[in-house]
Amino acid sequence: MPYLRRLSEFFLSIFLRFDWVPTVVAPDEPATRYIFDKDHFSEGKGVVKYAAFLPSKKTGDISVYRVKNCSEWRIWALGKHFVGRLRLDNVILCARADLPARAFVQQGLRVIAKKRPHQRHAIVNGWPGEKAGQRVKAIALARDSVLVVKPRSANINDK
Amino acid sequence: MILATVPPYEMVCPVEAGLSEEYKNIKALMDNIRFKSREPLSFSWRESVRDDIERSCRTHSKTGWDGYDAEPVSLESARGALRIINALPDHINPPNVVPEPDGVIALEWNDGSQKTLALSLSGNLLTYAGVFGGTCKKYGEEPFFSALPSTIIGILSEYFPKV
Repeated sequence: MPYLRRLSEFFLSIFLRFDWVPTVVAPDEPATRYIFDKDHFSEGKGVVKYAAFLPSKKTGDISVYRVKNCSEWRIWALGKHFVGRLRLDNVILCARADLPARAFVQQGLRVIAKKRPHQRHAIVNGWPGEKAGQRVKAIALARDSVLVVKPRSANINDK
Repeated sequence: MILATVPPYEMVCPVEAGLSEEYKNIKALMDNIRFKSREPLSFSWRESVRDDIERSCRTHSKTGWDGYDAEPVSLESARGALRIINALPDHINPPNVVPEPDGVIALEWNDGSQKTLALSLSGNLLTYAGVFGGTCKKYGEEPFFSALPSTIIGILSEYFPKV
């Protein structure tokens, strides 16, 4: 029933908020970048495309989630409730790119905890101004990342 | 010896007069099929990449298409990608079409994970960036008018030849 579903999702989003992570991002921490566009990864080749890591022109950074000690279920639930659900157009989460925070630092970027909309949210800034430089870093990040495609049968509301 | 040549049918008979719209449409389709069938096979991937560019323009036309703050793909960028496609040599692998968050359509060559090159055109400025193997990185900007710069041709021929 739709209202029961909505109610369960409401309680789930509250449950997901009860979380704590340190303010400083450690280099060995695993991070994930949620992917909402099918042209930003290749399921056949099992690779993430560099464009998934290019910074937003508006904010000049990219948004990632710190996923240390998170179960698979929780990682997908964070993406659904704290990234996809915040949008009015209700975009569909397709996949994610997992990589250690160290990979960003190795490219001369900074990972900074930004605990809104969630404790585990962080931004990656320090991108060069010119497009070619951004692309080279994004290509290196895509190579260092592991593609995880959202399982078709998985319902993240069913724990 | 005198050889008699038969003039084309259209030169003998004025085909436009008294013909229905259906006939004209079918004739245009047949001409198109005849033209395509004469194209070398190496041209066929261009048509497929052009279709991908057209599809990418359609599906990435709204702000935030990437789930974050992406800008809609611009027509200027799509035209730029088409210009690159027309200038690419035949002896290289076909590229993938990749929409970027700033509304640019780039062409990407990726051999799996070790070698990647991305190209896009804005106005007459070609922006390229590539990572090849361990630490080899090549990136920059080059002017582009009708032919691809030798730097780009060199990279494509070395890392992404058609096998």
